[in-house]
Amino acid sequence: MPRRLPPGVVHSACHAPSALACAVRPHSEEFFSGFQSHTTHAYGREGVQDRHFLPPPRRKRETKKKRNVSQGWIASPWLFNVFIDSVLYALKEYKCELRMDVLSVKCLLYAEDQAIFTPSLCELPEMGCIFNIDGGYLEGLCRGFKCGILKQADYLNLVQCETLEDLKLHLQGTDYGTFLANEPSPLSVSTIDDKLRSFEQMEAIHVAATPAELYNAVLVDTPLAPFFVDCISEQDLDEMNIEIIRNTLYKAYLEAFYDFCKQIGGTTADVMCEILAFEADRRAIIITINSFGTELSKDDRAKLYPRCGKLNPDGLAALARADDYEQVKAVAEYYAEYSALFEGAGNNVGDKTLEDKFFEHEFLSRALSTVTESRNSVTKVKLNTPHYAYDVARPNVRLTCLYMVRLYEARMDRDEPLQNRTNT
Amino acid sequence: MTEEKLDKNDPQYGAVCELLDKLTLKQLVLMEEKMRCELNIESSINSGSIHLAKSRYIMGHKSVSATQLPTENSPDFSASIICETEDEDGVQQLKVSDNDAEDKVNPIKWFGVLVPQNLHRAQAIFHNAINYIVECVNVQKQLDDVIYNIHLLKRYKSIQLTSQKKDQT
Repeated sequence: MPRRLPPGVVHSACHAPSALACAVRPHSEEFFSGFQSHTTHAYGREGVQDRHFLPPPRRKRETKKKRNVSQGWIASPWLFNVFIDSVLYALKEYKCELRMDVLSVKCLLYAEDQAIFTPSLCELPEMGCIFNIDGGYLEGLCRGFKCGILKQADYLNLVQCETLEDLKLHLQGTDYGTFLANEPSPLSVSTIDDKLRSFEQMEAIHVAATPAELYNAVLVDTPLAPFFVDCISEQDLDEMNIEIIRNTLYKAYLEAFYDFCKQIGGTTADVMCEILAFEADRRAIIITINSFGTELSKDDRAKLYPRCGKLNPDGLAALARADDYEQVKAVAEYYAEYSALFEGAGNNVGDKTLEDKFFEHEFLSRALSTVTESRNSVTKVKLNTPHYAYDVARPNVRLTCLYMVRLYEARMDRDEPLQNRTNT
Repeated sequence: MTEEKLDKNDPQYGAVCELLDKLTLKQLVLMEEKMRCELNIESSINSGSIHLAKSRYIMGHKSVSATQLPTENSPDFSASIICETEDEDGVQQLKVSDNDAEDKVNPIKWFGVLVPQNLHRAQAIFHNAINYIVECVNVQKQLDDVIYNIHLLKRYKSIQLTSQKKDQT
């Protein structure tokens, strides 16, 4: 059900919904254009079990992958309403700056027309990653699994079971009948846990013989799709190509993250762009060194370098030509902070590895200083000014903290077996 | 008394004693060589393992673990190095050579393509260790041969002495 807004708002919206929508649409088009009811794109899936009322398969001439419902199709309006309804409910948590007294206006609704307000394009991903919200309920609905989802009555029955055998019996009456049917008793937590991790449709992944098929079957409608555009081709999945795909993906992610931070601007851009530039340079150097003695050609290697660092373009060109460790070290000589890292690093038993030195440099000099910096910028906000300065610093603090947590987790991941060994 | 009788067998007896001396000396030399080989094996496996541990530290302990190794269900592949036996001075010795088979694999591929240099170093060290091991095996075979010969000669010598005693009595 659409939320009920005060009458005044509805009145003005009735008169100019299209004008408002036009004002907002340029921002939201990329994200929501798929929900126009007059599109003619088809919506389909391959490799997933078809059930109930899935629409006809995707037309081949579509080049851009979008989430859509097709026109003239009976269930379209209902599906659309279900989906957009949940999106609008998810907006509850989002804080918008447009206010009417105490009410925060995030969207305007009139019949099937809706306009959603965001301060800028880059806030859109923040405001609602609507992919897989509500635990995938919406995706389940769209794929026709609604009747199969357990209802309240089912849950009441299950809750009243005394033993696991009872549970199995009751589950057999629902759509999850085959879930535990063949497990020998007694059931254990680990058995159930293992079964929960896999499902029949996962076997469809085996059907995909090439990365392109896998992409079409699984990834095309996920938020990861744009990152795969650069590296999908009809190649065998051998170790070299998997490595190339993995590194190309990481490069695309890093560059997208860098552009995102730059768009936010302000302190966030200053702090995060520096961290990401260092990460890009580190990756370029490490990839170069690790590729010596393998079959990776220099051209292929050059395609894996992220372009958002200080080494771009001259340093990267020089790295692409390097043949051994000494030449890489010579390239790093041109950049003061990187040449310092090559001192004292080596392959002998007692030396620190180059990766260690990079990690130390990153963690100590970057992360700690940026946290102090961002903490300082937050405390400078006065109470009477609009929250703009705080909002600018807030993503910065959050991103930096997330980044530090990630670093710390990576370090704990490595150190865990060492700690366990010293304890026993 | 016994000594006078033994004088007749002097040349043969002397030869046996001299041979025994030489063999005993050779045994000592081979023992020292074997210990040296074993120390080499130990140090190379040591440094190889440390490089392996370092690359595990860099890549994460899930990327360098027993899960990367082939299981019983994986397809078979040929070894990259084979040993051939050849006869030298009556002793079987092993020689290391590259395998010509086509379905060899490079085990570094199990851990990825762009692996840290430490993993390459570890592979080179373990590869070298094979040479030390084969050398150790050869020394061991020679040592066994020498010990067996000493044992034979001692038995021969004692038989000779007892048969002479029987002659006398």
